Amino acid sequence: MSLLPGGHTLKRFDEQLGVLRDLVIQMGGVVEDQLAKAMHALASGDSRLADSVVQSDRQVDRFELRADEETAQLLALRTPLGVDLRTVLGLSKTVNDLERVGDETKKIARIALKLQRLQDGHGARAVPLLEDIERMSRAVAAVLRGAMDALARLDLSQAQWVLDQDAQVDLAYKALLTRLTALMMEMPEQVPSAVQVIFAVKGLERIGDHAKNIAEYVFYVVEGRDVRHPKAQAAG
Amino acid sequence: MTLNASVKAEVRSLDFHYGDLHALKHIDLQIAEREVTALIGPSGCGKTTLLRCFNRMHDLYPGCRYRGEIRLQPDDTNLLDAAMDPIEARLRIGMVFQKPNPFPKSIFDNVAFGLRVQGEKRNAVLAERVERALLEAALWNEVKDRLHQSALALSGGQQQRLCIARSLATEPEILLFDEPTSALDPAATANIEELIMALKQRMTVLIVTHNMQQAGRVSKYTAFLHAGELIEFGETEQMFTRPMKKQTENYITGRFG
Repeated sequence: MSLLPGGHTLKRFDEQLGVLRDLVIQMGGVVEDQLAKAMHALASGDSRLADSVVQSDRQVDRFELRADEETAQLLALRTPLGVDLRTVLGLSKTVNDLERVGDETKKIARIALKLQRLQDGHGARAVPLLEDIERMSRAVAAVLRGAMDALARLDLSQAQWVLDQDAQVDLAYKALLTRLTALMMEMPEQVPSAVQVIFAVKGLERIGDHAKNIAEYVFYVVEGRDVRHPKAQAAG
Repeated sequence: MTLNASVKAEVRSLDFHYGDLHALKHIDLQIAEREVTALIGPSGCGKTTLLRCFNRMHDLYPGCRYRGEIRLQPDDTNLLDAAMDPIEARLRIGMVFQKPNPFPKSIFDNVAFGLRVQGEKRNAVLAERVERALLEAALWNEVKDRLHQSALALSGGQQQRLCIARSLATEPEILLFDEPTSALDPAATANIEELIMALKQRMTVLIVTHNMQQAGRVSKYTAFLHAGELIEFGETEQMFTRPMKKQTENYITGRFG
């Protein structure tokens, strides 16, 4: 991941940037995996799988601690400038977003456990609107994967695709909320599980936002262009 | 780039030769009034050569040729005009060098030196101007009780501030700094940087530095030179986060061979 041909005169600088980059890419892989497992647990009711997601969030936290340490070292010892500075800042901000994604997957896993407990007394297990939720989660997983790919390859067209997709995720979220509200009015006995599902869907929507943030950092790293908050920037 | 600020000096189509060596190639550059402008670039890029053009230091050496202009405002004087007296240029434009170079005289006589060259003989005036210059250079409190001791007994950081005071005494319009802290420890460096920031309230500052962080800390504008050419000029903040030219990016990120 380098925008410039040739390495630094100081080889150790390249190595350190490489270490930070690898940590962030690996961390992305772990949270993508957690999202897939959490959604599988939600759909299947597999409590052990849900537990494993809750446990593996510690792994994400360890990645965060190591990446923050590397960032601090790079800033203190290398005082990066230009694209190096943007790379370190972009990677460091990505770490924050990935850590939040990890938290959201943990919440979804806990919701899977709660749904399991709610429905144990009622025989057959049913998650309201499961198909729609799974469709939304596939879209969210795709934008998260797209954002991490865009970051790994510093690929602006991929990053732009993520930004474009985010609007679709938001639409899916709003449509699901509307349908869940209607469901709760029609079938009050479904309210306890529908409320849990709303939290899960909200978590998915937040993960989409974090993926969008990561895609925005790719623009910053590559072009030095801050594409966040266009309204705030226009207002000066 | 054209400045938004008012322009104190303007370099126009400047070429400079040391004998056969074409050291500066067609430089156009505006220097903002009462701001700090940093000149950066690899060794041999011409940044010190450019700095020295401003106060005609090259006139001291044979075989040097200028072509082009450096216009000083508000009177539009061309500093490079053959009719311009280099001594006058140096009174309007002071210089502080890489290594502190106090004269082997007392602290007082060092600071009073330029004033005496200007013909000032009145002791009261000299005393007042020396005190003011030492105050401005943040050295007064450290030396006020030993003004008549040798300047060579001062520490490196103090000697550098003494050289700044010596330059300030003649009230120059522009102060040139040629890597003023490369021989100083971090505390003395911080003192000099503080001083530069304070001085820009009153005068225009041009500084050559190899220390990117220093350029970032003290300057509003930065010019990047390479092989005698001005590659990029702009606001320091932008230059250090998103330079426009690849060559600048390579240099500031340490990718230069």
